[in-house]
Amino acid sequence: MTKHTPIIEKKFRRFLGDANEALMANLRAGRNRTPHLVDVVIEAARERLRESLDAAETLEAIREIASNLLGCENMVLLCIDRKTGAFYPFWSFGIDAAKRSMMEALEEPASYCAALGSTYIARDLEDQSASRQHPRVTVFVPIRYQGEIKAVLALLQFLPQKLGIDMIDNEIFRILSEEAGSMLFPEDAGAAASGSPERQS
Amino acid sequence: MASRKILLVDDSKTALLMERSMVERHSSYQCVTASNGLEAIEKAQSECPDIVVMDVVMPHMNGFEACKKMREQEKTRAIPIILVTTRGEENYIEAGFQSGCNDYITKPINGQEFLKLLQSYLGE
Repeated sequence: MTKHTPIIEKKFRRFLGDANEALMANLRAGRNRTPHLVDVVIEAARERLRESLDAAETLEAIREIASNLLGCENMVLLCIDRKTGAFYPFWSFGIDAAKRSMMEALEEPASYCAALGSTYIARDLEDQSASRQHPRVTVFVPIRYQGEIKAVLALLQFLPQKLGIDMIDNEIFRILSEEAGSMLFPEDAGAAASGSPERQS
Repeated sequence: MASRKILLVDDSKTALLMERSMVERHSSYQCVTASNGLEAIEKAQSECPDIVVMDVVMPHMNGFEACKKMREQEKTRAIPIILVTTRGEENYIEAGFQSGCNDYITKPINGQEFLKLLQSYLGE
């Protein structure tokens, strides 16, 4: 399943360790949500994204999905610069993504998420006092367009009543990953439609 | 018995989509919607719902104010109101009950608990 190289794995081993620990703890804590209502939640997320007609609407849809379905009101969309491969804050809600310390904290795990190619859950670096049962986590979701990872959505500081990441959340992360990108990167859509191999930056 | 009617109020399309689907797929209740407090008061007057499920943080008029207004008006005074919000802090919950709500639940909604709560007010 993992696509990252041994070098990347070595570089990010400490994050991977945290992710596994946090993920397992949160999956245990999150089992109380109702299986037969899973489809309703997932379809609401998918429908909301699919009815968004441009980037602004898609960002609003992401904010609504995170707030109402995931229990998170702080988020940053980090785009990958095509030339340098570096991340830059494209949009944020609830936090100041322009702060240097914020970008420094997010860049490494976001890079790991992009290298991994799948959602990555990390324990909050500032969360020294939280219990092992309900650790605070930051979730990194790769945003794809036509199979390529264009950005990483970082979901930070989940609401206090949100005690765990469960299977519904994982499905929502998957939908965000697969469907949010189509309206966020219109220049890519234009390039793809015109058949141009060189996309504009 | 006529179908029970629920007024769902939220400025988030996502929340309305999800709540409406939960209610209509898993119960016989009927839904009407509003996207802010002012519209909620108008719909509560015109649609006479059996219960109101309302977000707190909304444009034009928030859920607390709308709840107070509904309690002041003869036609809507007795309608049960459930406030639904991301804000779970004690002072918000207290403000919710002071505004006259019957119940206060936090997002993200647990679907099963949400439907059980509706059933407790409306019956099966």
